[in-house]
Amino acid sequence: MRGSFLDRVGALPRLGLGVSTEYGARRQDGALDPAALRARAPAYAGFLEVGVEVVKGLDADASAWAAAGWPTTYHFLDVNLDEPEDLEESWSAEARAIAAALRPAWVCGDAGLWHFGARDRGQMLLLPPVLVKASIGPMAAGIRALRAALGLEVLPENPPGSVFLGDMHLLEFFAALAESADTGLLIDCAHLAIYQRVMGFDPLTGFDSLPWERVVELHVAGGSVLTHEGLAMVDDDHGTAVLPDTWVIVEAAIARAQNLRAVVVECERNPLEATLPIFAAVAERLPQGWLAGAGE
Amino acid sequence: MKVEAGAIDPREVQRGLCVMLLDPGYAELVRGEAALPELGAAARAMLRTIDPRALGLDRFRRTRALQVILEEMPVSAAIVGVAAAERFFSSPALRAAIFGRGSMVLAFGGWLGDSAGGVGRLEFAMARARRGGGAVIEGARAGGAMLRCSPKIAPLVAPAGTLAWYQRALARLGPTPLVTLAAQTRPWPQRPPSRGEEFLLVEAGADGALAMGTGSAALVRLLVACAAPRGREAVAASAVALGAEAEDVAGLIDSLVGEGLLVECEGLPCPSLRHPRAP
Repeated sequence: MRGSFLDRVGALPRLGLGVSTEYGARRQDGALDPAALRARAPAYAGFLEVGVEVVKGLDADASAWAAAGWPTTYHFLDVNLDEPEDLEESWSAEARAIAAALRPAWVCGDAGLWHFGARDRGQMLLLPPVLVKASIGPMAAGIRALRAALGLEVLPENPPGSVFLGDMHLLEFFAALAESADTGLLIDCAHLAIYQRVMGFDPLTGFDSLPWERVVELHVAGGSVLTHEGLAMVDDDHGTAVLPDTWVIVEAAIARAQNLRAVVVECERNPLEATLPIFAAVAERLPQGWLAGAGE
Repeated sequence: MKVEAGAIDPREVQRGLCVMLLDPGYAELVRGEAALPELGAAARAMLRTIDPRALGLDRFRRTRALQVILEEMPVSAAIVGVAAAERFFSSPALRAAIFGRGSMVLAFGGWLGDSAGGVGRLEFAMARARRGGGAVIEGARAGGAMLRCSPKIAPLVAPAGTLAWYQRALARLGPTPLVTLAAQTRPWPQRPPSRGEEFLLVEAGADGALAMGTGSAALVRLLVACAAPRGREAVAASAVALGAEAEDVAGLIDSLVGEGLLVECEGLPCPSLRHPRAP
């Protein structure tokens, strides 16, 4: 890909408001059917963000969505970007085959630790990166390598967590990562709210350190507070109750992200009717006319 | 949770954190004074800042990990008992797998050693074959046409009757072995065979399905001898020592290559069974 990301971003389509899924998500009782959502409220399901673990591939719902020619993004669930071993050719070849089926607008995914040890059964998890400068170079190299391997933009996402280590603010870290990898960003507003809370910060702390012109995608999701031995934490449960801090972040992010192309509501395990208010609430916060131009 | 970040290896920190999440005992070690060679001072200082309560938020993390092990090695777990199997998470073997980018299930199989007899080694062989032999990588030699046992095949010399005992034990665990194991956490009183010899081959198909059967003593021993890459001459010498006629050995090796039992490699990495063992 030629040119800097800020040149390339102009070629990325505006996907609008979309919904996420992962392998088998709809097969759970009461789970959201993205195709049904698209039929019921097309503006809320402008695209499908497909969570992909290469070893599992695509389920029937994701395959059918792609076969219909509807827009998608590819959200990886199995790459430690800072481990070159993870981009082995056999994995890359399978990822390319999946991307060929999905024809995604771009690739995105949490820039964190998706598995401990080798990529093997029982070893999947998700931890945030260690927020130090030494993490940035290897992770940026992984983003560049994945971009080259798949021929698609790769947008790192800020992961959730209950433990954040390092001397950089998360937004400062992702700013440096985006610059180093010359890429765009996916900001998960719910994950960011969790981080700010864990660190004892206000919801918008560090906002000025992020190059918002690189933010292409936002995630919005519900969460719930749980307490363990007196320690209160937010569980990123993708429920229907979006926490107030998350809304504060959503509004501030929308106001700053002039190259925003996509907003995903992550609510895949909830009944359709229960999710509609979140989509409506997000749509209300988007700029006038922004949704109308999506998909063009 | 800020610590001076100079000379930090982020991967070391994350690996340490993963062990702490699975093993509260290790978290205590990190916070203590005993030497932990796998952690540098800066990484350890950073890990010490973690609120111990944050490590326990996911109460089922270790249970899910144990479940994967039990799914792959259910009879071994029945023989030693689930409680004993869970002690793997407090072992150096788990740490080695995480810090060495290894497989948790294979590390468990290595840690188990002979604790579950030949049946344990059979399930370990099955786990290796499923992963194409992907255990610890070592022993590669550069250059030259080398031969090694196919990574999809796990040869095993086990006590006589091991395969039949394993199949009966699996049937005894029923259609939902995890449920059976959960209800019976103590070791089985029945012990697997321990005498005589049986020569087994476990083979993973292209679809991941496993086939198990017996082979001749000479064939299985030869494949065991080829776990690491060896020169053709060395393989031929082993074949002769196992009873092959010298004039037939070249054709024998060619046929084993043709059947996919041996594969040619050029200094490729090979699987090793080197794993820390259960105490």
